[in-house]
Amino acid sequence: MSLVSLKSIHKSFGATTVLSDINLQIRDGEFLVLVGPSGCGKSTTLRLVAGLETPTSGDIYIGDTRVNEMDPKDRDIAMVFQNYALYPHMNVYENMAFGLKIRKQDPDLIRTRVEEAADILQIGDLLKRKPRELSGGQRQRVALGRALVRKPKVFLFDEPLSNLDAKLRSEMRIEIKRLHKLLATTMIYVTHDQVEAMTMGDRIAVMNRGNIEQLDTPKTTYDKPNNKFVAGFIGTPQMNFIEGSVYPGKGGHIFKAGSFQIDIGKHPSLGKNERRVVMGIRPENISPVTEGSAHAERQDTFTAEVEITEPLGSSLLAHLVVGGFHLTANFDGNLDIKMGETIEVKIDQGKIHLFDLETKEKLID
Amino acid sequence: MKNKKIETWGIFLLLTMFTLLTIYPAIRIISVSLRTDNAFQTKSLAFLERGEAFKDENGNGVWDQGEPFEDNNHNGRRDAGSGFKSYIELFTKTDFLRWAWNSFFVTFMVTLTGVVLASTSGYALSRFQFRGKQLTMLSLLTTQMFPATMLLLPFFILLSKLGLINSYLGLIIIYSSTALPFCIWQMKGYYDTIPASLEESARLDGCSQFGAFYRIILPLSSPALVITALFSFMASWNEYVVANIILQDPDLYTLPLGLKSFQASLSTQWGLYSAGAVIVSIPVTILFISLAKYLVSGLTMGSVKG
Repeated sequence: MSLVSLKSIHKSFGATTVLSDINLQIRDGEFLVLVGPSGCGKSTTLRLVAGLETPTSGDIYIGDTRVNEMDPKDRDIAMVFQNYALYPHMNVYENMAFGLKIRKQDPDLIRTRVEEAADILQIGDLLKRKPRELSGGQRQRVALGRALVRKPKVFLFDEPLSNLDAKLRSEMRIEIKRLHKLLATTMIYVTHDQVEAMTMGDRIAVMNRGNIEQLDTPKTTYDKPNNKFVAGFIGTPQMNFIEGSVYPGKGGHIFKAGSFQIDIGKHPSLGKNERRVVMGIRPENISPVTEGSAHAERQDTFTAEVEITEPLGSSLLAHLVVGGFHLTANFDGNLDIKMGETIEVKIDQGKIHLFDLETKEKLID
Repeated sequence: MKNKKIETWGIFLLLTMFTLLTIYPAIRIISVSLRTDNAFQTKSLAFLERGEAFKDENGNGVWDQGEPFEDNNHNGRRDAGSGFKSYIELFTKTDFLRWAWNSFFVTFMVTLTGVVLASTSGYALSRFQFRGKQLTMLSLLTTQMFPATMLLLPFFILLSKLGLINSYLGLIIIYSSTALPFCIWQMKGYYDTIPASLEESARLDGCSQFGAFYRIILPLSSPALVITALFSFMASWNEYVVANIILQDPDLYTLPLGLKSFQASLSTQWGLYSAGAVIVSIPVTILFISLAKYLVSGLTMGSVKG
């Protein structure tokens, strides 16, 4: 059963169209991540679900109820904001209790719920403090707690971690995931950070310019991107792209760009004519060929000049020049190569992506 | 190092000078209020004048409170002293209390109107997009360009057509409308610094739009509200020019009009006048001192950090 559904949603602010024809079914208990660059409409989508914006056209359902005109307060949802949005004049307890108090819940119940949430989030000792006396991480926990005590049908997160430093961010990432496992409540999470999207989401919706480019599990999105945008947006370091053309060869299709040429195997979908394409290859699908490599691996290699290396400890990013094209490769951290050196590399043919040059849509699976 | 010291002293000297200049009229008024009527033009520089010392029946030394008398050349003189005579007379022999009540009533209504209307319309201008918003804000600003004296005649015509001459309502309308534009801009500016996510959060927590405003935004805006209240208060408490054309019935006089009535065409009762002026300024002074901390935070504005 889908708990939240958006049907043919359009949204414009004046002459600017922010969302065009968004269709999205979010399952009960699912953790869905909306990810995309700034201005792609992901926050607007979330705000539409929250009721803070109304769609220009289309329908929004929560459960079986159409909620287009329903007030945010009646939708039974809670939202965590990027700037935490804690009420500065109330202490932590009052902040967390506010939602229940407004709904005229029994004071004993409020106390139990707040203490319960404070326990889960380990903020029990902060209840008497004002928001300004808290660190960024603590504030975010309180904001989570405020959402938690309400036990809503749906949790909405609007880039909740982007104001935190890297260490806290990864801590809170785990915290939120843990909460989702514990509560098994539907969560919709907006972020521009594809690492958050990949690590947290049951499914991720990659958005761009008011459209959903792909809605899939993180793994599928990563392995089989629908188009060049998704391919480039998901994954760090970014996928390498080379513009060129494919044409049928003896054994299968061949991709060629300048002096760079590679067999890509048989793909009936590519047809018999030469066509202009963009080839994509992820950095980890480029591997070094060393003295010790098996004989088979030494076939069809490319000569690469190592321009710059970025040792990251466990891995080593090498910026290579292959046949005049700049490629980034993700090597094992123990590999001993130096800048300026020339090495042999192999490109995993099975992992090559091809996109149409014009439409940017994927051409092979 | 030496230059720095000279600079500090220079600034100090300049500030002292200006402080004295500012304070002098106030001291002078207090001094006059403690003298008897005709001592306004005395040549004595003493703050409090002394009468002659003498011994009363019990042999205690007292200062003579003295009576005015004419000297041999028929010049008005007095031989004595300072006291609270003017104050006592002000409260017992004049309509001062009535004027004070009138002023209080008008000021209270103007302040209330100012706070209620400015806080709500400022909120609308800060948060909502609607047709005519820019025009509204610009026209509010434009009203501030005209000096009050220029508006006197139109005000008078307007109010007389509405039959509001000689009424508090007329006065309250004029005072409110002159104070409001500034107050609305003031409130709007303050609301602009409060992140919208606070209300959004409150609305998701279960508040209506108005509830979010009332429970979250308004309490956070207290510095701006205080300034708005103070400004409305000042706009009516001390106002003379407009009151003078609208109120003609002495029963309706506000304090500034009442005080002015001590200035008769032939003689002015300077003692009463000054005593009144001192009392009128007391609420203002108390307000400013007690609200000083809000004033400072209100004027530097805009730091609602979550």
